[in-house]
Amino acid sequence: MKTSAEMAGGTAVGFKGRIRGFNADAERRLGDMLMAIGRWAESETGAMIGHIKMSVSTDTGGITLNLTDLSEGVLHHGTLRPTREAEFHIMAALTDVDRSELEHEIMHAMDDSGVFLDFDHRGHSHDHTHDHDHDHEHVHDENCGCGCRVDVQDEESKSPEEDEEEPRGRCCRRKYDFR
Amino acid sequence: MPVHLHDTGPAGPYVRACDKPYLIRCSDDGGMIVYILGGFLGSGKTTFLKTVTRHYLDSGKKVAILVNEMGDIGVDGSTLRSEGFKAVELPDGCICCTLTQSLFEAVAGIKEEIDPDVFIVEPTGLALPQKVRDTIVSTGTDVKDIRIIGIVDVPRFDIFLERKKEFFLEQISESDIILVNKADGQSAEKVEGVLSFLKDLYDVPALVVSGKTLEGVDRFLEALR
Repeated sequence: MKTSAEMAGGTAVGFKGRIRGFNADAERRLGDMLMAIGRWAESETGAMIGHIKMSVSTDTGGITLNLTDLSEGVLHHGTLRPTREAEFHIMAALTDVDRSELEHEIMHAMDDSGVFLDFDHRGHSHDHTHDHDHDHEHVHDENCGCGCRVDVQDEESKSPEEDEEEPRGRCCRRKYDFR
Repeated sequence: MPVHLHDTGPAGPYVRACDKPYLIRCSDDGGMIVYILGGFLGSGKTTFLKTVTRHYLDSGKKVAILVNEMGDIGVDGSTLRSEGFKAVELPDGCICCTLTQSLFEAVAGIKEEIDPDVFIVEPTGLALPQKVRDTIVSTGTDVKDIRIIGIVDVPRFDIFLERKKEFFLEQISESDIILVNKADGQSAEKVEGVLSFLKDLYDVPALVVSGKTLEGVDRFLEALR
């Protein structure tokens, strides 16, 4: 018997953790981060059906960011004064996307946001892997020493600066540091 | 409309209430009013959850909230609590199917510990609210009235119909009242189209509202009385 989520073709992923250095710029970047996840969903399915929410809070207040419609953008509610540290929760409930890929995309969006987000790995089933087109898989934070990271880097190495860096693997569409 | 009959709860006077096609255990001198907010992801359930809660708190009623999240980490529970609401969060599943036992226990716990006048439940946007209602009824908890408030989102109505028609229509099929939300900024034609579609399918009141501009909210709160 199907669950209602299966009937609707929906899935949800959430993370929580701490944000370091919250201010207006960070709030704007977090909004951009939600948009990036939404645009990815749209690129996957043709339309983002679902919602992406985030809250940032301290004992003194909090904000929520909510994205349900890409054309409308991210709605910001509440106020939070600049603070050194706050708690965040982020969740995305979307239809017609793969759960692992959604999880993966959120992680990358957090990485790329330019905001210091230390997320709590508790309960995080982020075991997604990256096969680099050669029957071999990597898990985030894994340094398996297989050498394929070097192969990937070889394909990628265009600039002398990059050649001097420690070889990196490539995750999906971009380079990703597995160290 | 499907008929749901429950007689599996603790012994008690089960009655039909408010012309509902199911049985609830009613007591004249007590019993909580239960509202279940149904609607697809992003339809505005949380906004109306807060609206209804504030309305009853302002009237001096004791209100308890239960929010459900599909993922293991949610946002609404912590946000509601930080705003001073008494909210219980059930994450990591759906209270209409995979978390029915948790819902069963939570309802009993809320009745015992908070004993609210009004109990508002926000399932996930991927839930069927009628199943949530059935589970609450099956707990045998004293309930004065139980209503499903269905919420649909005008701007995305067409895409839901195009992509998720079967589920979307099933989700609002047993609503006692339907809120046609996010009507602000939409053309009168579009809003009328949604209303007409709903009226053809469901014989319940449909109110045009906006959680953002609060248009129609007074009429909705009046309808709850």
